[in-house]
Amino acid sequence: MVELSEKSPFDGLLPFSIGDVDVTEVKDLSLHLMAPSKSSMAGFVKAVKKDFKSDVPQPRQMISNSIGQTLTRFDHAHYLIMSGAPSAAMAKHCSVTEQTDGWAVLDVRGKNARFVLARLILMDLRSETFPVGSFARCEVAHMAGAIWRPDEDAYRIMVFRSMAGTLVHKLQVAMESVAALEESD
Amino acid sequence: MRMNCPICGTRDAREFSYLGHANLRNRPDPDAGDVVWDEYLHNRDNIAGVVEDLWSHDYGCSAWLVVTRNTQNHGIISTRLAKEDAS
Amino acid sequence: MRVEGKGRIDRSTPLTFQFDGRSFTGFAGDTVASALLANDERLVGRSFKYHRPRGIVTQGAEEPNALVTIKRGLAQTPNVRATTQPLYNGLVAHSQNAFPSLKFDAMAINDRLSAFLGAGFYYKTFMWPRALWERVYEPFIRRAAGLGALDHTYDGERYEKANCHCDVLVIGGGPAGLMAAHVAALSGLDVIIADDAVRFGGRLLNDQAQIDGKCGAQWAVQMIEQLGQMPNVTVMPRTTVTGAYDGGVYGALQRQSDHLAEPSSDLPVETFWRIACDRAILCAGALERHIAFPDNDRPGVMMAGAVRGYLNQYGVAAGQKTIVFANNDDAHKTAHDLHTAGIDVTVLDTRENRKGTTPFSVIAGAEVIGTSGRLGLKSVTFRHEGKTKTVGCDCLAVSGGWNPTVHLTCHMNGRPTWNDEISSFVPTPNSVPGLIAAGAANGTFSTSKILGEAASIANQVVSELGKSPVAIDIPDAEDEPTIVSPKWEVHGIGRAWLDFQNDVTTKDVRQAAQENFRSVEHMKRYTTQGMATDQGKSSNVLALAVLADATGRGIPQTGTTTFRPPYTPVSLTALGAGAHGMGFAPQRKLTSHQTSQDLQAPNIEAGLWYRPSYYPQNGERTWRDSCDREVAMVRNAVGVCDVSTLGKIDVKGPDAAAFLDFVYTNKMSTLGEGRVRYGLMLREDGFVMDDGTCARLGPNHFLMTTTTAAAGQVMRHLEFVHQCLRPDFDLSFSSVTEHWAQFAVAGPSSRDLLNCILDRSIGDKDLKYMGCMDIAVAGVAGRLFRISFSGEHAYEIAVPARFGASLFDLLLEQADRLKGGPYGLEALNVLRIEKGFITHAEIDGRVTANDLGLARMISDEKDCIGKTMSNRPGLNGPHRLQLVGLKPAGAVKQIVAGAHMFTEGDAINRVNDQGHISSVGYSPTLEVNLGLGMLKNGRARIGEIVNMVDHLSGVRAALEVCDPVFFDPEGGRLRG
Repeated sequence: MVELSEKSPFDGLLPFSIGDVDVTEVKDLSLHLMAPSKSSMAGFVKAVKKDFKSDVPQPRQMISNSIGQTLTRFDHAHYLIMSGAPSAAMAKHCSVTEQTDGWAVLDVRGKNARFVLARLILMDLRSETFPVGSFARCEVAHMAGAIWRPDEDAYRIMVFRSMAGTLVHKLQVAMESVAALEESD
Repeated sequence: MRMNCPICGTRDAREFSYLGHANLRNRPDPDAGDVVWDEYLHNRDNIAGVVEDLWSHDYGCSAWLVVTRNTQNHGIISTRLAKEDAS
Repeated sequence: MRVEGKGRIDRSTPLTFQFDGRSFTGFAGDTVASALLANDERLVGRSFKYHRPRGIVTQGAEEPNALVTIKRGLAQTPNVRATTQPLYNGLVAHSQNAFPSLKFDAMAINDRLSAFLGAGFYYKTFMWPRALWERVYEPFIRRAAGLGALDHTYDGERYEKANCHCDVLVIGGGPAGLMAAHVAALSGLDVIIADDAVRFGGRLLNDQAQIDGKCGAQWAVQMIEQLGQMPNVTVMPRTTVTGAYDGGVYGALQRQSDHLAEPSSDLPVETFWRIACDRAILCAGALERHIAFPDNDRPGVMMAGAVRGYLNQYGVAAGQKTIVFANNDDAHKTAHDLHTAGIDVTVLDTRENRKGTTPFSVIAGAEVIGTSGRLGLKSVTFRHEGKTKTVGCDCLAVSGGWNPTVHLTCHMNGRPTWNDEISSFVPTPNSVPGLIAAGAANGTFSTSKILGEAASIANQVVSELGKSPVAIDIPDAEDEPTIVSPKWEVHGIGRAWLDFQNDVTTKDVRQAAQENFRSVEHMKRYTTQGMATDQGKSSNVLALAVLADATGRGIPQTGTTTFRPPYTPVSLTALGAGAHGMGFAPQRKLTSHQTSQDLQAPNIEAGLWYRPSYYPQNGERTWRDSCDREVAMVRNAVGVCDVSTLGKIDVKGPDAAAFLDFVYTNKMSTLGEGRVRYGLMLREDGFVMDDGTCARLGPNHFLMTTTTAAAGQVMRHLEFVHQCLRPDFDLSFSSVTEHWAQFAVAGPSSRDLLNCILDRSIGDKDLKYMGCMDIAVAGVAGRLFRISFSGEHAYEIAVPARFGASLFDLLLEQADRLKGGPYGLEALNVLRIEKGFITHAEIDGRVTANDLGLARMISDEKDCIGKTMSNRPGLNGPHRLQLVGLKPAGAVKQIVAGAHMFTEGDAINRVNDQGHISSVGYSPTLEVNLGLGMLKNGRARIGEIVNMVDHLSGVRAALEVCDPVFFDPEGGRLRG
C-alpha cells in the first residue's frame, strides 16, 4: 500500500517564543499566482468585483472576501490569491500557476515584533507606511520573500521553502538580541 | 541609497540590480550590420550627468525599470516601468 | 584629583578598576579617562611612531592619545578611547604601544632617531637590498607598527545590524539637537534623536551655562525626558551617526554593552543601524583645536574645554596648578570655573588687546614656547613683552578655537566653507541633500543663538515635510559673542606637534611643501597627518594653516581633504554583524535533506544549496569507493538522486511558444504536447548562457528547466527579454523551482522502480524518451519526465514539495529491492562525463554553441537572442577552443582539471597553449580516467596525442583526443 506523507517546511522548528515575541507556523495556506493579460484584464477586474466585492488591489494592498481568501499584487505581472484556488470565473481571465509548496510562511507576533523584524527587513514597517492589511515583496534577511500584516500585533513572513531553516535561525537570533536589549534597558 | 519602484514604493537600493544603459531596449535588427551591433553591445557614452539606466527590482516585484539618474550626485530623478515606457 | 561638590557622577557608587595591572577607584558615571585623571594618572599611552609619553587630551571621541585595550571575558578590544569608555566595576584596561611598560618603553629609541624618521621616510628607506624586504624589513615594520593588538581567539560576542526609518533624524543631543528634536516632534513628525554619549546635553554638561535661569544640564535632562515620553520620538543614546549616504540613508553605531561588567551573552555589543529619513538636522557641535608650540604633547597638556568639562561633569581637576593658553574668549570659561572651584589658574592669552577684569590672572600677548616633564608636565615656558619666563605647572589647558563638526555634510564629496569671523570651517549648505546643520556645527556658538537657530531650522524642515510650523518659546540663555584671533603655531626651539597620533610636526608639513607635496591631499599622505584613528579631528585645520603659510596661500585656497565615512572607527565585526557561522549565507536545503543526513552523506555547496556528495556504505573508506559503486549501480540497476535544485520556470500564454523561440537557439514552438526538448540559451553577444530542457504541457503551457547555478540569472534574463524587448508578447511566467520536489530515477531498472510506486503503471509505449506526462503517486498528482543526464534509461519524477521527503524515502525503499539506491553529485558528475554532457564547467561564459559542437542547434529559420553575434568571424574558425574528450595515452594515467594542453613537441609556454581541461572523473564503467576539455580546433584533432601539463601540481601526461561521448555513443541505452 503506497502512501505519501506531508512535511512542513519548518518540520518541528516551530513554534517558539523568546521575550514577548512568538513565532508560529502558518499552515494550509494555498498560494496561486494569476496573470491576467492586457486583453483579459477587463474580465479579470469583473471577476474580482464579483468574488471580492472590490476593485483589484493596489500595490501593497491586500483585500479579502467572505470565504477567507485574500488577494494582492504579487509582482509586476501577477496577482496572488491565498486560502483557496481562484474561482472558475476568475481563472477564465488569467493564467493560474500554483506556488503553495514553494513557500514557508510564519507569523511573528508580539509587542516587540517590529523591533525584531528591524533586524531582518530593510523596508519601512512603521504603522503609517505599513498599516494592517499591507503586503509587500521584499528582501527578508538576504532572502527573497514577502511580508504582510494580518493584524495590529503580527507580521506574516514568507520565504522559499528551502530557506525555512535560515529564516527561523535569523528570527531566533534577532529575538534573543531584542529580548536582551529590553532587559538591559 | 534608495530608489522608488513605481509598483512597490521607496526601497533600499539593495533590492535592485543594475544592467546597463536604457538603450539596451533598442535591440538592432538581425541584419543591421556589425557596426550597429557593436555599438549596441559594447559602446557607451560615459556621461558625468544625467543618464538613463535599466534596473530590475529583483527582491521586489521583478519589474524592469528605466531609471533617470545623475551620476555626479547619485540623485535619482525618475523611475518608470520599462514595459510601459516607449523608448 | 577629585574635587568636592562638583560633577554629576554618582559618589554613592564607588567602582574599582585596573589599568596596566594596577588598581584604582572611580565612581559610577565616570569614564576611564575621568577616573584616571581623578587618580592623577596622567601617563596613559605612547605615540605611534616615536613612542613619546602621552596623556589624555580631550573628553570625547576625538581623543588622539588615550587609546587603551579593554579586556572583558574572552573579548579583547583594542583602541578604545578612554575618554568615551564608561567605567564599570572590575573593568580591566591596558595601555598600548609600549614595551615593556608605559614608563620604560624600549621603542622610545625611535624618538632619538626622529631625524631619520621624518615625513615620507618610508618612501626613501627600506629599499635596499631588495632581498631584505620580505625577510627582514617587512616583518620588523609589521611588528613595530599598529596600535593595539587583537586576540586571535573567537570571543563569541554578539553584534547585530538593524534598520529604522523616521521623518527627521536629529544628529546630536546637545542644546541644538534637543531643541530641534523638540520642535520636530511637536509637529507630529517621527523623530529620531541620537547622541554618542550616555547622557544627552552635549556641552551643557561641561559648561556652567544657564538656560531659563537654571543649570543647562538640568534643562537637558528635562528635555530628553519629555522627548522620551513622546510616542513619535525614538531616543538613541550611545549612538554615533557615522556617515551620510545617498538617498537620505545614514549609518549609525550604537554601543549596547560597553558600560556593563558582565553583559548577558545574548546582548549585542554593538548595533550598526541603517537609518533612512526624509530630513536630517546635524547638531553635532564643535571640536576644540589646539595650538602648535614646541613640546605641546606632554601628558598634562589638554584642551581647555575638556579641562572644564572634567571639572563640571566629573568633579575632576586635571591639575593642581593650571595654565590656560588660548587665543579666544571661550577658554576663559575654563579659568573661571577652575578658579571658582579653588584651583590655581593663570591665563596666557595670545591676544595683545585682551583686557577686562577677572578674579584670576590674565597675561595678554603671551605665547607658550616650551614645556618640561617627559612623563608628565612639570613646567611651562612662555614669552611675554620680549621676556621669557618659566613657571611650574601640571596642567596646560590649550585652546586654539573651535571647529564646527562639519564632517557628515562633506561625506558626498562636499567641502566646507571658511568663515573668517570665527576662523573656522562651516558647512556648505546643500552639500548633502536633505541634511542641514544647526548650532555649533553650523558655526553658531552662543547658547541663545543656538537654541533660536535650532528651533527655526527645525520649523523650516517641518514646513518642507508638509506640517505646520510649531510656535515655541526660545528659553533665555547667554549670548556672548565669539571672539577668536587666529593663532596656529608658535615658533621656537623644539618640535611643535600637530597630529599626536601619527607624530606629525609643523616641520613635517613644511618639509612636505618643500618637497613639492603642496596640495593638502598630498601633504596628508606624505606626512600621514590626519590619517590615524582620530582622522585629524584636532589637527587638520592647524596642519592646513601651516601648509597654507608654507605655500603662500590662504586657508580657503589650501582647502581641506576629502571627508569620508565613518566619522569614528567602526569595527569590522559590527559592519559584518550577523554574517558569522550559520549567518554567513542563507542555506537552501532539499526536501530529501534529512534522509541524506541520516545516511551520512556529506554535502557540497552548490551556490546556496546543500547537495549530497555521495552516500557512504559500510566498508567504503574514501569518496571514490562510494562514487565508483554509485556509478555502477546506476548503469546496472537503478539510482535515485534529488535534482530539485534545477530551476523550473512555468511559462503560459498565447505567445509562450514564440517567446521561447526567441530565447532558445532551437525551436520550441514545434514541440508537441507531452514532449521535451533540450535547449540552448545564448547571451546577446553570442556566448552560451545556459542549457536545459523545455517540456510542453499544453498548447500554451511550457515548463522549462535551467541549471542550478544559472536559475536566477535565467529568470532575470527572461524578465528582461519580456519587459524590455518584447512587451508586446502575451505571456506570463513564474518560478516553480521550490514548489516541486524532483528526483532523477536512472538505470535499466528505473521503470520497474517507478511501477512500484505509481498509481498507474507505465509500459514501453506510454512514455518515450524525451516525453512527459501527468502521473499520480498514492493519489498525489505529479509529473513524470523521461529525460536523462546519466545516459541510462531514466526519468525525473516531480511531486509538490510537501511530499518530497516522503517520496524520496519511498523511492529508496523500492530501489533497495532492485539492488539500487541513492546517488550523489560525485556519481552524477562521472555519469555525465562518460556521456560527454556539459555543465557550467564547460559553459564558463567563454564558449559558443559552435565551440561545444552544437552549432546545428541554432535554428536558421528564426532569430534568437545571441544569433547575430554568434556568427562573428572571431567566434568561428580553427582558432577556437572546441569541446573534446580526453583519455590517458601514456604511462601517467592521471588527468587534472584545470591543466593546460600543448601540441607534442611544442615548448611549454603561454604562446603555445592549446586549451584546458574542464572536467575530469574516473570512469568505473570504462575503467579509466576521463576528461572533457576545450582544445584549439579540437574537432579536427580527434586521435591526436597532446601533452597535458598542470602547472600547479606538476603532473604531466600524454592524452588522446577523442569524441566527448565515451560511452554508448548511439544512445541505445537512453532510448530503450
